[in-house]
Amino acid sequence: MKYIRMIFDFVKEIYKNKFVVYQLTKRDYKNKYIGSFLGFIWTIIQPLVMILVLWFVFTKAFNSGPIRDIPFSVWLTIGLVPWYFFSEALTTSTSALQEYSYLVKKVQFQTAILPIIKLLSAFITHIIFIIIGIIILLINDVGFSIYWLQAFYYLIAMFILLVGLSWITSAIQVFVKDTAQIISVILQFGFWLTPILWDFKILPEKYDYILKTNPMFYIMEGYRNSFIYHAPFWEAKNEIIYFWTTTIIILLIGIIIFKKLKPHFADVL
Amino acid sequence: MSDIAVKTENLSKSYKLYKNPIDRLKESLNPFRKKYHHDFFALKNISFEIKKGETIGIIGRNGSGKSTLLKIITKVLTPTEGNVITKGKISALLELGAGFNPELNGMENIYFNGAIMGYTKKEIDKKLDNITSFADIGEFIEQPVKTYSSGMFVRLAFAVATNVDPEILIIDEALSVGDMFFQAKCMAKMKKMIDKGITLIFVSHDTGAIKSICQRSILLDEGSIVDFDKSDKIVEKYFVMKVQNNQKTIQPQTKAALKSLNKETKHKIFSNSDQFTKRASYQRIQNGMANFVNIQLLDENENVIQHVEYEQNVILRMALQINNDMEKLAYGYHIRDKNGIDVVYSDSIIEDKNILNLKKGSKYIIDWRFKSSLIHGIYNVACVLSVPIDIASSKVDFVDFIPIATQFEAEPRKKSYLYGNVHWDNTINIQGISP
Repeated sequence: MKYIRMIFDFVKEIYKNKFVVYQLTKRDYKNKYIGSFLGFIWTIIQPLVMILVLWFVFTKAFNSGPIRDIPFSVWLTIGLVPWYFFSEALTTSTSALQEYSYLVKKVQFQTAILPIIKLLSAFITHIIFIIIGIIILLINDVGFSIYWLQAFYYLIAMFILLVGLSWITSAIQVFVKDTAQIISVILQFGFWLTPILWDFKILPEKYDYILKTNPMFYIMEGYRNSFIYHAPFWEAKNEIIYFWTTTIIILLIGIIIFKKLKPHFADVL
Repeated sequence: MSDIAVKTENLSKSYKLYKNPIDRLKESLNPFRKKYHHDFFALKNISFEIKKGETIGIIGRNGSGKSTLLKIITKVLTPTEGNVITKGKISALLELGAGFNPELNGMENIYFNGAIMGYTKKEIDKKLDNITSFADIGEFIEQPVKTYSSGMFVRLAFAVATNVDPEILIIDEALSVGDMFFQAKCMAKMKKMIDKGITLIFVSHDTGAIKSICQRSILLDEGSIVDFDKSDKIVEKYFVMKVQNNQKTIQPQTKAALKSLNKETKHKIFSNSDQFTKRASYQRIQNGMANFVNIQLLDENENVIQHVEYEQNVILRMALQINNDMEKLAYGYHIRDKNGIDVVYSDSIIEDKNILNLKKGSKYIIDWRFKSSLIHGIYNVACVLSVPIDIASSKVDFVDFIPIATQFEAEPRKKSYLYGNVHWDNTINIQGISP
């Protein structure tokens, strides 16, 4: 109960600080491309190139055909979309407190906002990536369906998962500078362990439960279910329960760790 | 209770010093609260109350905990123990550049800084003219603040901090980077705000500014409140404390030495020269034939002093030991101002008091007595031992030269201000000529 109040208070706090959040997010996003000629066009180029390379390697070199009757390019793109966001958001938010140390050390500031700024900034890229995905869908004649809107549910679910994770990693990063490196190694593993480039159906069913311990598996399948298979999200009841239990536990751990370590931030940074 | 602006209760801030950065994490997350650190207290048991509309100064030496205290009041730092209650909107100018985003330009930063303090865009819009005109940095307002000079920075920061209508204004030493005119402007602005009933907490090394602005002051030393009283009393106490501290460091002695010293007070100058040796080592030139053991500035009662009143009688005491037999030894002193310019000089050749026929192993104490008529300022005393070779051409062999033998601060003349560098006795003759 205490924690629900805390979450509620925090959401209120963010709303109160919406101008600062907006300013910081805008600036954070701009800073990524500051001084470059193409500017925000890089946001489009990077994921496009990634899709192209992977598509080329898998269809031309490995001869991957359509998966469950869906063209590989579509299947690949929709799987990459959430992972790309997840990986960028988690990497950048881990060093958020360090990067914004001037807001931690010198003024009174709700520091828990800082990792969220990074999530929001990565979110802008995510929207563009989703649009690219939709274009690829339409090119391949996978038409609009009301199930697309389910993606919002999965997006919110992923965001809450990320908030929890980024509070944990960013707080620990302040004390242990190796955290960022560890996270990037884990993400590399995660990229291959999450069935983004391969269909999880090729594994024997008895391994399913191992895959499902990965909350990102739920999100990624969710994106595919919404955009490609048009399967309603409430059908996978066990997965819903499992994902949300995991996410809420991670969120609570995030809140506790962040709250415990917060008084030390200004001393250490 | 309702008229209190800031109240602290048993406030302590200790820094945990760890051998390893990771120990800090281990300790924070250790469920059994195992200790991995030793404590350093930056603040100890600070309790005070500041009423609404009061103007409070905080003084203390470097490292006495002033900035830590301000950071806790503004809630940037979390106290280890105790708590702070503040009532009213706080605006603080703590460190240069605090709350500014270096990438944003000046104008954007005004909004950004305002937003951090909890003001909406509309509220800042109304104050924008006042802020920009006070900051007065011209077209730089459109440039990223990372290109600013520290002067421009403080202008903008002070303009924002004072124009957002705070109820409590907290100013740290940051102001001192501004030029004289800007500082005067800031003083005027602060006085105007005080008249409007704002609560002010002001930290400065400029005791004059403290006396003129703050009704009461807190004297901090080594993290504790020494006293909290009227500003002029506190400033005086601060000076006394500085002097005492100096004596403390110069006088610790063994019991045995103390007994013998009671008879021969002058000899303690030999036994207690660690401080001196350390300070004097800076750019010291020696040839080893003789050397200074200690140099002290004393008042008439032979207490070590750091502050010299105008026209006070002072003793400059030199203790030296001779390492080789010598025929003749000259000695002298320079008093230099903070820019290193010689203000006063004298030596034994001028005074015709050279020491003759010196024996190896002998020691001397030389007292120079003079009445200081230096103008207000900080001075260095440089001391020199030499063997005169040819007096007419002032050719000497340096035996020991110490550029910084001791330092002192000359107090301003009490009756009226003294300009110029030197004052001598004048005779004035007035002749009235009727038209």
